[in-house]
Amino acid sequence: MNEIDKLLNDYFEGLTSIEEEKRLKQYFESDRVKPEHRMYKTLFAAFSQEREWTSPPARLPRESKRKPFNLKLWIPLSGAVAACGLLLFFTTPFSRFQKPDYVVIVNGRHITNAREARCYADRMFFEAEKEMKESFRPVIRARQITQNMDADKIFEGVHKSITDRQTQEK
Amino acid sequence: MDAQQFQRQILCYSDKMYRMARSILLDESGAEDAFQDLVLRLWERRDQLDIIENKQAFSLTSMRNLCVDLLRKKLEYGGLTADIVSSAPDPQQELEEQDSLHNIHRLIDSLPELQRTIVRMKDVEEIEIREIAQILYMSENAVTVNLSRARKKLRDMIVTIQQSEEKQYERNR
Repeated sequence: MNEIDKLLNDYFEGLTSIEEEKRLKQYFESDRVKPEHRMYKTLFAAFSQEREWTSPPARLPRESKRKPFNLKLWIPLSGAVAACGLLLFFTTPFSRFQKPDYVVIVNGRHITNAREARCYADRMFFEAEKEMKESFRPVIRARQITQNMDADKIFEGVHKSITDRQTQEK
Repeated sequence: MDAQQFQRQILCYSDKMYRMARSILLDESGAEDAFQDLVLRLWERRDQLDIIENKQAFSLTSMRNLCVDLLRKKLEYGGLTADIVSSAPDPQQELEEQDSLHNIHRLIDSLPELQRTIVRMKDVEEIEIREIAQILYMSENAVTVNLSRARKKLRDMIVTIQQSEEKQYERNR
């Protein structure tokens, strides 16, 4: 039994390796196929022909630029948002309705912050002082005019100047 | 897995997937539809394909499962009779056909689905027995047995045709 007969026997028993089968294919594709083997030539030719069958081009949908919905990311994220919402809901309303410990009324305004109350009070005092000064200015001026227009002082001055001249003439 | 990776790692097996579909379904246009269907399914799940080590085995297993499902549905709804899958061509009728290659394709197609799938994986796709076993979820021994049976059936059919041809030739002399 020659090598090809042995390979063919093994082939039909399903015992040949890929390499041995390649040798068989090469043999049956060649011009030196023995007459007793010719009937198998078409079998190997058919396998070669089937190897030429190609698939149609695959049609893929366009890849969306938008990332697919990632459930693993969204579950903890939505949980965190819900927790923050609940925290705000339970903390903010209570603090809003609670009475503050410190309340000062400055110029009719309710202030709960001590620092703010002091600043506001200082500003109000400053403005009041300024207003008072401006409102008393005409009175001060009138007093000055009254003092300047005193008749005794005027006559005393005139008398003094006359006496000074008489003294000089003598 | 992006489009380029999908092209490189999955679509490189397109021809093998298509040929497997054609071998199982015995229908060229049906095989094209099945191939396209599988490609779309794999594309939709491309994010999960990275973890698969043997992508050839995975692609071919998916193709076979899809085609076997299609065959089963066709059989259930009467679109396909069992005869189509297992009927052997009449040698006399085959003699009348001049295209011997076409006859061999028909002989292979006449084998049971599992046998023709195995014989084509080995002889057309040149896939090792170990990997065929992995693709078909079978033992290597079972693959070898089915391969041997398929090849021997083909040999017997070829011998029968050969003898018929010789008788016909002597009769005509």
